[in-house]
Amino acid sequence: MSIHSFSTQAKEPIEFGGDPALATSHLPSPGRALTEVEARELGAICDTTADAAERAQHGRDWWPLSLRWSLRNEVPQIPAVVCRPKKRVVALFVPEQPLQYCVCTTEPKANVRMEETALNAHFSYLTKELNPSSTGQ
Amino acid sequence: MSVVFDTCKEMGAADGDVALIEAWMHHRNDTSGLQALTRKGFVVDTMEVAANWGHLDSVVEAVESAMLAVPHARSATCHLSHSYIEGACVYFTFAATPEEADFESTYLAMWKAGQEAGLASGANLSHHHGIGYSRSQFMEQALGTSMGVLRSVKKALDPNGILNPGKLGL
Repeated sequence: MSIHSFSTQAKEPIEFGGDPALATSHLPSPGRALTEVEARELGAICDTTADAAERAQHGRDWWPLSLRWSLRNEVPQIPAVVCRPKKRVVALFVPEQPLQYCVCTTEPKANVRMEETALNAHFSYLTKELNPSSTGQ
Repeated sequence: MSVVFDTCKEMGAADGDVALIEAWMHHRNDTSGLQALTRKGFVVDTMEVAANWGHLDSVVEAVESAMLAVPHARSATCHLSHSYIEGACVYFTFAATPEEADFESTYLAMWKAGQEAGLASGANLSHHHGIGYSRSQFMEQALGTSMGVLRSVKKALDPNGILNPGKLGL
């Protein structure tokens, strides 16, 4: 083993204290649930799931306090859906402000991995794909 | 590194087992050890701040003392993680063993004690971990009247408040 070697093996996160599908959000959410229409539109664009256990998995992080919450079957916040855009740039619209949006992409960029995107309805309502050249990115 | 080596030698340091260093290098970024401590009921986290060299001693003493004064505190230690011509990043690791009911309040109290002591003794708010939500409560103390300038810039660039709302205390 070299002095410069290090492990890149991912470790499993701390366990849930119960069934992940029954996990709850520890922090209050300012958002709302996605409507059926919104969820259907998302699903038409990219792989999208509203599976409860998967949403709970995507709502956790490594903040030390949230490790403790996990043992109580809680995560910081549970996203409304989990989306997996593959290649194209997508627009995330703020519901009440449809002319403004943020952009995410799966292209390699600034060490950000966006293959999976957890969406909270209060901020992110993905409605359509954009031509990357039109985003200024 | 040769300067460090020579200085350590001059101060009486002895050569150690290189295998120990290699073992440490191999898992130094593995934070999964937090899980075992969490299961045992430990409050544990790290807090990093930066200060000029002239302030470092007082910052370390003030932060460690403040953290250890929090009920249920067990330890507050520090190492120097980054060094520069002007100063350094001091990186604190703290732990406590409260009752379950006091877990969250103890965690927050140790953070608050450490940050406020650091700011009062000449440190900044964060070296590289950032502010996020949890440190936003200290932004006024850290920036003083400059906080108003930051608010004005944010308002001008983000009039509807949709970019990272709540972060940086904005």
